[in-house]
Amino acid sequence: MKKFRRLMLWLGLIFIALLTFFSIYGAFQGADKAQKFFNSIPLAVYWAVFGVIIAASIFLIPRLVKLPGLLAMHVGCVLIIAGSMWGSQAGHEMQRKYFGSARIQSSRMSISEGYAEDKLYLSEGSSVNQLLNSIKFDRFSIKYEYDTQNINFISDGKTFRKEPVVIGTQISLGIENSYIIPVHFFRNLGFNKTVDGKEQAFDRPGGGSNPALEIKLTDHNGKESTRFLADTSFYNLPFLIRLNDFRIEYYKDPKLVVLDEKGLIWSGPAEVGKAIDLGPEFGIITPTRVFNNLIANNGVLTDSEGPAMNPAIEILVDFPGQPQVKRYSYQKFPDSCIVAKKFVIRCNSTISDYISVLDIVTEDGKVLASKCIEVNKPLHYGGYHFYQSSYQPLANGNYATILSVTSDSGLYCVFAGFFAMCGGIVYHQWLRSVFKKKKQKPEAQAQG
Amino acid sequence: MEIKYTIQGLLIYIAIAAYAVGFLLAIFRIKKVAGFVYFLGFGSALAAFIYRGLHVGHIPMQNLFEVFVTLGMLVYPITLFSRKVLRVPGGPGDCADMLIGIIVLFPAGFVAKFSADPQQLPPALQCWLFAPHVAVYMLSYMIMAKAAFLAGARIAGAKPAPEENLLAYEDATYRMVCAGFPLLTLGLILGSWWGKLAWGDYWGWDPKELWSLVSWLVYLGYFHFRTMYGKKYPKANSTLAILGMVAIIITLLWVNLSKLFPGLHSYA
Repeated sequence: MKKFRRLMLWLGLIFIALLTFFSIYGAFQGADKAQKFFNSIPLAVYWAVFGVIIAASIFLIPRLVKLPGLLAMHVGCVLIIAGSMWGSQAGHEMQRKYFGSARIQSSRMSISEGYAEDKLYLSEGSSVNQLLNSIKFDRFSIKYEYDTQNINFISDGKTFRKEPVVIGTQISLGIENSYIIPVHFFRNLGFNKTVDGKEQAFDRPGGGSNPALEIKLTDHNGKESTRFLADTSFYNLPFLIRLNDFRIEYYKDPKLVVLDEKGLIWSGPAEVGKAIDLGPEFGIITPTRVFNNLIANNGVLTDSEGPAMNPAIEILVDFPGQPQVKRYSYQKFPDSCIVAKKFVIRCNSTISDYISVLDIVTEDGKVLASKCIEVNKPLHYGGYHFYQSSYQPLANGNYATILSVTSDSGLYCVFAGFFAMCGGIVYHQWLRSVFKKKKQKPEAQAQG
Repeated sequence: MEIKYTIQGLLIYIAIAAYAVGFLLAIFRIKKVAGFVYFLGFGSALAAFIYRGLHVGHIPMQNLFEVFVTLGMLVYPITLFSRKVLRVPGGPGDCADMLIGIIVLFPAGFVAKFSADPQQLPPALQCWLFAPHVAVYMLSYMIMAKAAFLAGARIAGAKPAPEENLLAYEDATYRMVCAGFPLLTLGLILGSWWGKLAWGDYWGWDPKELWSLVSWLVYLGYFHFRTMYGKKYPKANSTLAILGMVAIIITLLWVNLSKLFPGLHSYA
């Protein structure tokens, strides 16, 4: 038995050492490659075996049951490994295959202000437009149908022609000499950013959640281009998310930054009434008012209460040889205050927060939940966490918010594991000896 | 590098100077005076801590400057606690803790990046978990540094003075690692929790995370090895404790200083 215990401990030690070396290797690879490495099939085997070893040792080493702290930390480790495997990409594929779950592990969504969306984009780092599910021509469009392996020609919503997909076989488009050639089939199309910033298609490991076809399109001028036809390029959530409002908040008291073509001339706090001498070439500027939240009402400018959403600075500009003028520099419009085509005065505040005001709605517009999400404050709904990730200014002056979406599969198991492990370690290494001492003291006194 | 010409800065510099003088005196075995100067240094560090607290109106643990000031103040209580409660000696010459004190106060005093000005944090760092995550880690690093020092003393073959009735260096190392390991675990888990809140994932495989996992794993290995062989191979035990500290130093500095690894933790 003692020999057996020692064997289990040796196994444990070997697996700890292996994980140490894997982690060092991963640290040298950078986050993206490390993530792929730790999610690869050999490592999945490693994790499973490690979990089994820890679980088995709980049953085989009596000490691990006798001491509650040791028990809690080992159970915690098993929970963390099991939960994170369940919640991994491969875990999600498995759930889809065997348990009929339709969750997507990690994705992104983009919603414009005033609109509701249910589309999750599956590819990380790919731009939204790259995943087209059809290619449009003047009089028709083509779509790829995964179930029948056909290219469908569609006009006015009706399919008027079907062509079977054979890799390498040319399909004429019927417009002069243009044609397409199916090049490659992806079970689960995703895009990777290469080192030089280009996007590269790849087959995401696991089941076919995003089947797509790579085709070579040759137009009537003989010009070739590579295109992707995805059948289900998006995963649709069973509900919609509406973006009611998107705001950027800034830290109060903006700074002044003065730049010319060559670079920085001056930067510092915008103190009202304090003249800033930029030298004989650029003259003197004097901030006269500082706004954290500028509001213009019938030509009257006021600094509204509340969070800083529209920082701006009013400045008197004395440019050499020109009369003094009053100018405004707005945070939101960096080139709003260019002086004599020589230099620009910028109002510079640090962003403190991005806020998306969201509603969860049904197709017929019924509001199921509402939440204002910020960085560090995600929305949890329907088994997903929605995070404020990024934003895009739109041409109409509105914004589109970009949310990253992660499934919560296995999450509670991992967090329960954290709790058990940490509690076990604190109990075993700190509290146990405190309790022991307390017990010993009365005994010692009784003996004395 | 910057010098702070403020009362805050002055208090920090006095503390650093006192720790440094105490360290030198301890090396030259002028023990009593060293202990007194160390205590004076603590007084100045405590004053710096209280001054900062009154100045900003909250417990000074909300940015890295404050965390380093707090740690510089905590060195002395850690020395007392490990000696009186844990029966852990201070290592040969009792000078290790003063050195640790200088090291943690140095960034607060001189590194311009850890500014005493109220900082405008980027959105991802505005989370209540920020200060506890960093503070718990720093505290555990200080304790592990002391453990590594004691382990080094054991490898060098030193023994604590018998009249003080303190633990031998191997046992002392073990006790310090036991004191620091729960904090190390807590730091890892708080970071993970924060990652979930801020980036959507409790684990991002970024180099700093992986190095912190490595340091945690080395101590985990230390515990398993010591469970298996006890004190049969004291030098192997001590070597593992030192390797843990090496991994911590890599976690703390290398990833930040060298631009070798791209990663998320570009703030710290």
